[in-house]
Amino acid sequence: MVAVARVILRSVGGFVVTLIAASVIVFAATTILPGSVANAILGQQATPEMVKAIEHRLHLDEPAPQRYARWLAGMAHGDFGTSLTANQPVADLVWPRFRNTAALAAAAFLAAVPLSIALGIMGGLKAGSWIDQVISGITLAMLSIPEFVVGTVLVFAFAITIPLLPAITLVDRNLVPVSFASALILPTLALTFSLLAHTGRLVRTIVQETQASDYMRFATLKGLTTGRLIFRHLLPNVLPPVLSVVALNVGWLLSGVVVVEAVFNYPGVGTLIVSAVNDRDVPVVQAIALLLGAIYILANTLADLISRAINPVLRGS
Amino acid sequence: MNNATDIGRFSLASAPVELRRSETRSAFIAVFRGAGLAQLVAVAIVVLHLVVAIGAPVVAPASPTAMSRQAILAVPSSEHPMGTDKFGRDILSRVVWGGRTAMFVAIAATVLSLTIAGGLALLAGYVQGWTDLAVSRFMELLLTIPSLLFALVLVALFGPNLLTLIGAIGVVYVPRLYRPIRVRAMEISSREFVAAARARGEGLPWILFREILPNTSGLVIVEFAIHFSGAILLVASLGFLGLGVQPPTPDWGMMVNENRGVLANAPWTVLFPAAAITSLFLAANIASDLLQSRFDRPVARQRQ
Repeated sequence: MVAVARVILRSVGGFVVTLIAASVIVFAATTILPGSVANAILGQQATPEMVKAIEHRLHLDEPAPQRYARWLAGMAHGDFGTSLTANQPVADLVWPRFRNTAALAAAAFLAAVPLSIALGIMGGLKAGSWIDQVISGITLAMLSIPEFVVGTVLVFAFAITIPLLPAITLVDRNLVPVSFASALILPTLALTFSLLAHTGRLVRTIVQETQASDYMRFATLKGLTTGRLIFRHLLPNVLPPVLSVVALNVGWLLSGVVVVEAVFNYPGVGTLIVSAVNDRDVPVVQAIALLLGAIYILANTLADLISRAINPVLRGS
Repeated sequence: MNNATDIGRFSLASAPVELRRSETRSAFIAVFRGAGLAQLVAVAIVVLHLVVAIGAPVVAPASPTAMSRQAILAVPSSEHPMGTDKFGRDILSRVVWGGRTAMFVAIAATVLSLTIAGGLALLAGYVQGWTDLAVSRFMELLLTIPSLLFALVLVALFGPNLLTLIGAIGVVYVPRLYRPIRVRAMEISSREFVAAARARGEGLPWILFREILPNTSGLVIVEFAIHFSGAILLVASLGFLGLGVQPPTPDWGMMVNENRGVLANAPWTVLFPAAAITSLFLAANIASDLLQSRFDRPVARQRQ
């Protein structure tokens, strides 16, 4: 019991330390050029006095450690600063969008993960067979089509050639995601496409490695049925590494979601960060980068914890 | 996945002496011996893209930026094999020149990244101790930022242009290249010939660049291939988001983006550049798989 508590504590501690370090990086990266922020707001006609006034209002004239402390303390209170272009609290801007992105990402994950595990087992069980080669070939091809090309082709096929689904998402950003289910289908498909291929290939490698182990060979020699072999011997051993692969793919998904949202004008954090980058709206970029970074770090921590919980060998280490 | 068992399997890469020229050539041929048809076709496609990119001024039938009022959204014909866009610009010429942009940025960024990551990895892998710990921890930290997001933040800071693009992609790949090269450098550092060099009184630069570096060549080739194809995707994705190279420089991702509005009426404006990206990215992926199976790699492939 004590050992379990220690493992959990260490993981949580690691999460907090990494998150703080990530926040320092995000902060440092976005504050290297303080002058440009004021210039971005004011445009070409900025006089030195106006720049100074803006910098004072945004506390840009303070030393960096003080600004970092202010930024961190604000976030602890749910205050992510004020958007430079929308003149609105960053939190109010980001949260509704984040809900939409979460809905899209969750849909893609639900579709991709079980499918990719099934594909990976099919290929990995008989590595080198024709089934394996076909799956490998198809997944490599799927992996090699950029998300925005997949999205654009989907629009061409199912919104233009066969007008079944909406090409772009025209929804009020305050609506609940469930109410625009039809608008979710194409973005989800586009996102699932490469996620499925990527995860499937990694699962295949893991299955193939497990398949070569002594206990799997012994179980096969005992004459167990394929079903029993898969569900009692293969899955329990394959699941922990697969879970960490899935968690690592959260990072992949976060990159993919930015592009896919842009294809469909989906009102999520992806389209928001792209427009914020264009406007050089630093507080918004900072908040979204940190939010997505935190999710990624959290996913990795969870994967680590889960694999320790499932595999007794890892529990102590 | 399992580093411990992988060490020692690098037949060509771990040869303790530098390869002579003739051996290098036979190693080059050995890469292609026994390769599948798909892999050979893939290598040929990458080479074709490279040749077209280099010869763009000769290959392109027209200027990529010349507009024409007479040929707005023209259907593909003998005059404009891939049609024209809403400004009457020749799509084929733009696709050819767009390939030049993609190739240039991807190669420059990967070389930049390899130089920084390679230098750090050799140093950390050989010196070990505190240097290794500090550099490795910092790299792990950078790895916690998803690559596209990382590039986006850098573009936000320095403004979208060619140099930022190369720098951003180069920096994003540093931690991703660092890990496998460091593992390899560490493994080589424990060999006798490194100890012998140290005993001879060779300096740090000699040991890093003359003893360790040549023995990482196989790994470096594989890493270059993998990250080159990754960079092609990043350039295209950033271009699509409008954060890559800026108009009028032609870029495949940007072309897909700027012509999306006319997808229903003039699909050729979008589908040809999309096909160009996909063919290069797919071929580069298959080719890097081929290299990977020949030279092996200590850390499992991860792209995100």
